[in-house]
Amino acid sequence: MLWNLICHTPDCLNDNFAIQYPDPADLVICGGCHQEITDKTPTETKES
Amino acid sequence: MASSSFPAKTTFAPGNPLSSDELNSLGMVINRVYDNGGTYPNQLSLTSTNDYILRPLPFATSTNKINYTTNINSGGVASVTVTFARSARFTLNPIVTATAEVTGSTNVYASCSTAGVTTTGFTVRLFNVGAAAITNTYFHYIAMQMTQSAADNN
Repeated sequence: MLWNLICHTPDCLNDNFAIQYPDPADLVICGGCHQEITDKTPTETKES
Repeated sequence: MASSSFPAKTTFAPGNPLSSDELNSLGMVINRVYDNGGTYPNQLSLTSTNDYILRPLPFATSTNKINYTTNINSGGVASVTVTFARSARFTLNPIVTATAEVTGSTNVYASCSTAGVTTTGFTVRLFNVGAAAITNTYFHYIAMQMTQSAADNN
């Protein structure tokens, strides 16, 4: 399942940028600021 | 040494490409084609005019050192997903090489691997194969995409 991972560290390159990654580990670290990303939500799947 | 002995400095405006004269003044030339019998895609290479050896330049790269401070007991594992800084940097899944710098109260031993490499990040896993607890870990990684059309290119 694809997840949106959003860093909220001010001035980080990834700040407020949704990075999509499949099945992340419980601990996700932003490579831009080295802080933990806690804003993790599955991308919505549209039923046909 | 008088300042006039130094090579001329050039000030670049943001976004301005280097001209051939400017590149040549560095003692380098840029080669578009990496000649490998057509096996590999065109590769940007830097060549010194001193030895004319091709030195390939990566299309995109990222390297980092991530601190993981949670203890990992003997036989224990850790799994960490790392996102790349601004994910649009890579256009293909890069080659990711990762290892772990581990410390403990005595000698510690660990096995490190990667999984789930994508253009946006990867997951690094650590297995404590020694008898002592790992008390601090630095994950080191290098992610590289050599050309726009291939991650690997020797």
